[in-house]
Amino acid sequence: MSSVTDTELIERARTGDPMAFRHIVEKYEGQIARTVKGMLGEVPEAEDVGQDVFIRFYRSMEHFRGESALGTYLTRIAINLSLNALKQKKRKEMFRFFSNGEKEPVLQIPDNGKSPDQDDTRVMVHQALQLLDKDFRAVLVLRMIEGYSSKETAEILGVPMGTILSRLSRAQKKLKEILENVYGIHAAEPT
Amino acid sequence: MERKLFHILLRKPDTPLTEDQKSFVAEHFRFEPYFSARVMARLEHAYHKEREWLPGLTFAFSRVAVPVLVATIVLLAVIVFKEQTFSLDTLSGASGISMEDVVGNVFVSL
Repeated sequence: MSSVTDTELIERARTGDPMAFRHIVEKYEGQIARTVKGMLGEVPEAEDVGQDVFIRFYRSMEHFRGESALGTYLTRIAINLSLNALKQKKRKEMFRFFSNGEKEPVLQIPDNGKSPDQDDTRVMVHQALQLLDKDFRAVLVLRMIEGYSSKETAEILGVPMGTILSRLSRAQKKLKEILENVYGIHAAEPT
Repeated sequence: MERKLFHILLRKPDTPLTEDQKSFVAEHFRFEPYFSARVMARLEHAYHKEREWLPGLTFAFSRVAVPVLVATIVLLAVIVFKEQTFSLDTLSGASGISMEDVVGNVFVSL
């Protein structure tokens, strides 16, 4: 079924062909995972949000006109649902803080005496991404991980292209500072 | 030390990802295996639930709507038969009531 276009798959899925919809999920799950996990980090909710993206699409499939590529459309849903999940998480943390004075989980900072291994580094990058403002993070994920152009990123996020360029530059600068100051990792200059 | 992700995130924006970087990203940002099966199971569950309550709703509707429709038709037939006319006033039960009656009743009640 790999030669079948997205339009054909959507048409089949609209007529109730579950295999066609499953094929859409399999085709785009990697892209959605990169977006959602880039936005939320390695948390259990990421999987739920990822599933919600496809369920939301299934329910609104009738309204999909194909004006943008399916991948872009799904990424837009993924960004919106991730931002909603972040808002909910923040509200829950605020509620927990005011109800029993619980503190937010502390980031795991590596022991300076040791050189972090691969897994530590991966966790650190995820954590460093989480320290960025969500708007900066969204730009960094779409532009640097997903590989969307600045114009496409601007369309997905619904902001002017100038804003994307400025947020990207600031996000990279901030991330570099976090890696150096918090984790003691001297990342290479952008290559 | 693994620095691929740093290089990916901090590279110059117009530099495309290399094949090696693409496979690295795909490996590090992915869902657990059988993700599509879980999505399909959730959809099936949601629509199964819908299928469960939809016939019940249809049955309840038919049990209420049909008798109400029959009663309305009978009532309209009786009104038309008694009044021998088919106007809005007759159907609303306001035939034979003039504006003076209404206004007069209002003043009396005041």
